[in-house]
Amino acid sequence: MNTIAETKTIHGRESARMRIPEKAAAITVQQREYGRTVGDITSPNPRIVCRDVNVYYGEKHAIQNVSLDIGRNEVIALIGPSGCGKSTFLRCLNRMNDTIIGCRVTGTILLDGQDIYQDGLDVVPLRAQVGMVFQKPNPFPKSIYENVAYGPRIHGLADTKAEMEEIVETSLRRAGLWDEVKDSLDQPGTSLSGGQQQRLCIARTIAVNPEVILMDEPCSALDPIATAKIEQLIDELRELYTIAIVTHSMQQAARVSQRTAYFHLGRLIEVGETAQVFTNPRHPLTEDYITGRFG
Amino acid sequence: MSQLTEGHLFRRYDAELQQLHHAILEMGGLVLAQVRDAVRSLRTGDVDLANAVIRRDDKVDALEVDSDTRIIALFARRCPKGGDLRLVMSLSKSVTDLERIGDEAVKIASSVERLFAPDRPRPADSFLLDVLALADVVVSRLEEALQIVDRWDAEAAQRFIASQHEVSDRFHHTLTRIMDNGRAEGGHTSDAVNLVLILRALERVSGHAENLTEYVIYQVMGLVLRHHAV
Repeated sequence: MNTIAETKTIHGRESARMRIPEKAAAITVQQREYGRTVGDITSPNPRIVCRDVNVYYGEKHAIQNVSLDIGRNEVIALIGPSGCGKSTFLRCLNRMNDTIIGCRVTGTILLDGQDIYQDGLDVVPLRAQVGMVFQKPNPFPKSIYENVAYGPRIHGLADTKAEMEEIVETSLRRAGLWDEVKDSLDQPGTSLSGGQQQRLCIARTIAVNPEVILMDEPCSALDPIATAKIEQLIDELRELYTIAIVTHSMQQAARVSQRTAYFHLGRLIEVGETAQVFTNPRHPLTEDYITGRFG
Repeated sequence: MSQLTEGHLFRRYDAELQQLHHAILEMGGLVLAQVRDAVRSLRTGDVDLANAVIRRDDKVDALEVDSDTRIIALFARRCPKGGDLRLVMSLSKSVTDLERIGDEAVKIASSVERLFAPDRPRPADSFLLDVLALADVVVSRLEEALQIVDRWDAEAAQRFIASQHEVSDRFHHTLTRIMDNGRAEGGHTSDAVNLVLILRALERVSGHAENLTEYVIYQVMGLVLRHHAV
């Protein structure tokens, strides 16, 4: 079937019957198929592959049949209204939900082809591979240096003091914090500003050589300047890591991510290139949410 | 209220989008009146009316500035997304086309002033009638395009675009007739030049009207048709 554009291109001087574009017809179909994710859930170069993921909190079915790939060196933004399941889904990716009593996860989540929910898997190295940055900066009540050095020490990543110092410096540099703290590494992490604390937490995550960084509203407690610094950092870190970010700020999702996934009532409604999702969402629920109509 | 502009949790946003749409329609109404009056001045040889069209272009320009100001404020304050973004972009593009339609009306009026200058004989009716017949079609097409913008009617926009080539054919036919036969039928050369200028202006009005309908399709369907893009 011709699209309207093709029809227009070829009509020339001949009469042409305009047809309903394929895309418009497809939208109509998708509107009827509520519950099925709209858009391409796959990635050509996936780091994480999720298939039919379900999460139950006791009787509550919090995540329903979510399938999604997260590509290498991509930032994917998970958006949706409060209670939609985006943070729950994020926490599945490094088994943080294991700590919640009554929580049950079914389906498959592969990290570099390995099932992270397989029996006997040690979650400690998993959580180093898949690090997490939380909404509120949570530095340890230790020095700036020790905040970064703690992880590499318990994971045995440094044999000498010099190696540890290198890890600390590299991590703080990658987190964009080194120049601000290099002369006060012995000061408490809690003495830093909120934005600096969050970057310290990112440095702490980086220090254990993760492959994936999960961020759960990392800027919600920060002012616009600190937020801009974190967003710049996310953009730089993308070259080295895979990043999944949960955010309530659609502007932030639009700014930092390459793909965006919209969740609604525990379902993944739509996923697509960020520019497409924010200019031409294909599902009416996504449209309602991003335009501020969702009630 | 249009479904396209209503339903935001922040209700003032509905009103701002609606007001922008109204502002563009108001501008559309004014440029339609400009083109109609320019054509009427051509039909009647009314140089005063042509002069009034030229003077009234300032009002079109003022409405363009007003609409642009509203659009910039909407981007700054609301950061429109999805259908809202396409709506604001569509209207923003429409403003530019409407302003240019206003310019074409001025060009027609200027040619009318030259054609019907007091010291010159009235141009030959044969070509004038051809141009006027086409002008009536263009005015009608512009009116139809503005109604499509008013209703955000993508289906009507598709029909409009599909029929545009018929108008183009008429332009080429009339232009060829004036160019080839103008001198043979005894018309004054400068008359032919002015009529060709009017014809060109009308053709551009028709093209801008088509653009308006393409923006409607972009808003409603998210499809970009400009420059025959896919």
